[in-house]
Amino acid sequence: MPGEGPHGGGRREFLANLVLGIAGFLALGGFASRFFSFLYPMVPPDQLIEVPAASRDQIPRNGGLVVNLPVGHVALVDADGELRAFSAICTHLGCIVKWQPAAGHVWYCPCHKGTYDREGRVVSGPPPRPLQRYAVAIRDGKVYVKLPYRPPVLPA
Amino acid sequence: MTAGSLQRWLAERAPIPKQWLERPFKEELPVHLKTWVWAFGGTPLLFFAIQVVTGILLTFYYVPYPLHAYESVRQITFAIRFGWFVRGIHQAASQLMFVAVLLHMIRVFATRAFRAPRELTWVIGVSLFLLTLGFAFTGYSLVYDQLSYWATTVGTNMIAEVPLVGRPLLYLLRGGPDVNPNTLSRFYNFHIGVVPTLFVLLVGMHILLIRLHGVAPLEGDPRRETYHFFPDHVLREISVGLVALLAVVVYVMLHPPGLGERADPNLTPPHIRPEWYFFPSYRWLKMVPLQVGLWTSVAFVTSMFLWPWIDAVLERLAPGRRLGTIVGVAGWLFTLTLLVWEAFS
Repeated sequence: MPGEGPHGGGRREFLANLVLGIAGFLALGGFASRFFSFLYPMVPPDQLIEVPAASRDQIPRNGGLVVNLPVGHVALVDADGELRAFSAICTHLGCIVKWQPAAGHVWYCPCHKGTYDREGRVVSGPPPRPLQRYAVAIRDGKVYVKLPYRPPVLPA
Repeated sequence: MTAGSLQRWLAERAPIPKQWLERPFKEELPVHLKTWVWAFGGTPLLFFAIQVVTGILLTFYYVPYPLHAYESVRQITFAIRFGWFVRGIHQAASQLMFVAVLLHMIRVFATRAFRAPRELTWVIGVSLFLLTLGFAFTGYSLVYDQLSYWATTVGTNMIAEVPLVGRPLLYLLRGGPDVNPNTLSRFYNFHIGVVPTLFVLLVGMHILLIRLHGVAPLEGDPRRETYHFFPDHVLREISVGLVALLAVVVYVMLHPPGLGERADPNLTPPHIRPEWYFFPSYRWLKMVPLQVGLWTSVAFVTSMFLWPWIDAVLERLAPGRRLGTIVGVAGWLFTLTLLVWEAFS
């Protein structure tokens, strides 16, 4: 037969193998992509929300406070009467910073000894970025912070 | 039914050639193996077997859900009969398994048994070393006390720094952007399903390759004599195994396992530190910027995988100078320095 090789293979066998190979590849790929989708978490998009974080008199002049809210961790600091809010999550590897004023810094991360000043800037240690800043407002003696809220991942 | 007829019955139902069964026992080993240093190859496997048995026992009581995980570990440790013993053995053997794997690697490195044609055996060995660390990391996260929770947070956050794929990988590992209830069930699954399955497959390949290649000859040893694998070498391995087992039991009797405070996602505790085998990486991350820490760690692990080829290149550059050994020893010493530095700081 034309196209037949010395081992009885040839074009027909090559085509059969090719079709089988492609079919197998598609079948495996189909399974793999669905298994991957199954494992990949359904992460809802962030929403910017405003929440009451503390009462204004909880933060003394030039003092600071970390507030743990159900929607996130907030670091509040009074800088000569001006209130600032940051995410209390250390930008190095995700631990929660503490209010610990010392030479040059006010926030201290216990995990890898990163420190930040009251502007949220890195003073020392390994953090790669400043603390994330949040918009802050004071109404009726309460401190309101605008922060990105992540609805829970399914299933939780 | 007599023993003979039972044997015949079995041989007919499972017709395994007799020489297959006899061959491993009749194997001859080069005489340089006849020292205690070479009797540690089986100990990682022994510790793994202990982990399997005690791990299965622990699953009877452990509940992999954040609300109950800590309480179930507390019950295992302080309330259930011999719970402290089973958990203690699991914990101590995990540490000794790491030590045994490391000692085995150092021996292979020092005798350059990784050279051609045994590169693949080494590569699989390095994978097994990383899987051993994977066992330790995922297992530690299941305890759900303060240190365990924050070690998981810190350890997984590193992945987010990998360009492009970092964040999706982190989500996949944690089952969400943050450490959440899905994270615990995923880590539980990794610890008792994914990692052990990979480990068993790779150990099988590792042992198969060792058997196919035979034991690596020792450089500069002119002796050609051999000795019996069975019973001589096997007895030596069993002796080492029994001593190791005794050491684990005595350690657990003297230091029964404890439990820290319940995990509090709102409070990173002061003086947080991982288990001692992560000290070098922990100290390094404190010293250098995050991206530097990440990429040097990736480079370190990659050079471990590629070591047989790196060693060959260094050998070509300076024949007979053992440049590879010098570079490798410098790497080991640097890691050891970081470990000791963190331990005593």
